[in-house]
Amino acid sequence: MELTDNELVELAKKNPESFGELVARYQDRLFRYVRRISYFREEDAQDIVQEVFIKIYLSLNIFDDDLKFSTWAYQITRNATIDAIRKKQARPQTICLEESDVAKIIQSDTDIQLHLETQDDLHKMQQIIDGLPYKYREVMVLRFLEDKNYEEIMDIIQKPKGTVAALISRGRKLILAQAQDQFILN
Amino acid sequence: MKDISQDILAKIKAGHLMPASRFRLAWKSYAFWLLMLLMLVVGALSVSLIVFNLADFDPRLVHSMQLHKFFRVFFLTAPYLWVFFLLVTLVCGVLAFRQTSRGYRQSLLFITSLGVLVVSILGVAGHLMKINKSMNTLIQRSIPAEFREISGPREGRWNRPGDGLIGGEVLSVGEQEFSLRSFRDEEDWRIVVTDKTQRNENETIIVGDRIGVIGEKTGELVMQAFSLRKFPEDWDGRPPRKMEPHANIENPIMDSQKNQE
Repeated sequence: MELTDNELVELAKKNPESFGELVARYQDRLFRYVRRISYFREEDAQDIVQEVFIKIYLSLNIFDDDLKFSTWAYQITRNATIDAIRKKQARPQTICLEESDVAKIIQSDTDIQLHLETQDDLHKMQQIIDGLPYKYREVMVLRFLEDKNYEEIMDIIQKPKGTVAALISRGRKLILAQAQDQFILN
Repeated sequence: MKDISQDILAKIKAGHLMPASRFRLAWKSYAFWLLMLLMLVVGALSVSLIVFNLADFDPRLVHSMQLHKFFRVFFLTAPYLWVFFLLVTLVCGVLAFRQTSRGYRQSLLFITSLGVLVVSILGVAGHLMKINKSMNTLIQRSIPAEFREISGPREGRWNRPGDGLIGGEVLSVGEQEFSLRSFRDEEDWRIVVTDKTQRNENETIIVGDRIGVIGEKTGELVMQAFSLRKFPEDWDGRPPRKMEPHANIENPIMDSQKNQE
């Protein structure tokens, strides 16, 4: 029977080998997440993920069972990514979400989904989402690409639930408004 | 992405890395909890000192003074220092709570409201247990004289004859008047009492009573009383003084100097 994340955490505190299993479970997800919220190249993103796992290992004793391990790992990854962005003294303005990512975000909003007709429209939407202020784009990524619920997003970005809801709502409105401005929507 | 699990394990083993202890990881959070608790206590003491310094403001004052005079006295003698302390402790307490490990979960409005509620309850409890009185005595004794008016504005409030407030000790009692030595300036005032002067029923004024007079200054050291109130026996309207050595205690240094002479 497969061990749960929490059981693996308990084992990893005594035996690092068990930590390898946790790394194997989460490395792809965290790597994708870093890429989605930053502009880093593949190698840089990989370095960040490695640092994150070392940090997670060193911090195992502070892991709180109230949180899901994945939420905790995302929280640490987000902080490490933001630190890395600050170190490079650049704003994450140039992240490029995949077209499939953009489609996923659009699917969450039937108003937009119904009006997209051409590949060009999808490309414009991609630019709109890429151009969103970081705080909105970040929550949109967590909600619609990482499939996190409001509680999990609250713990990952360490903001109250009301703020998370407001950010998602405003992010959607911004996308809609800009889509209308660019004549994607009538 | 390539599998990095083996690289990570190799790093952990090569660096002999071990998970850090809980205290080492969480000490900041514990420190912020402690700071928040400290701020709540200081905030509660500030509330109790605010209550202490406003406790003599009651509806009778509004009744006996004109409304604009009441507000004038209120704003001039409000315990601003303790209000300032309360605000600072609330802001620091809320910020400290936000820095704890789960502090982000609650909204700023919720934490602030909860903080105000807790500090108010503890502050009123402090007032009921008379902690504020001992605190006020201690503070007034310890701080320099020029700051006493700011830290204990209650005392100054009853030395505003221009605004119709004077407090003091009764020296003699006549038919329709009595004389009163003011607490602060030790001036002898003639207080004129009429049938309309409000006072507690069955309360007679006798020599030695400590009395607050609300009225109108009608002449030099003459006050027409609209309302009278007796102060508690243990309050003489002055800031508590520093402890002074008893007159009967001999001073060994002075004595040895005298002997040498």
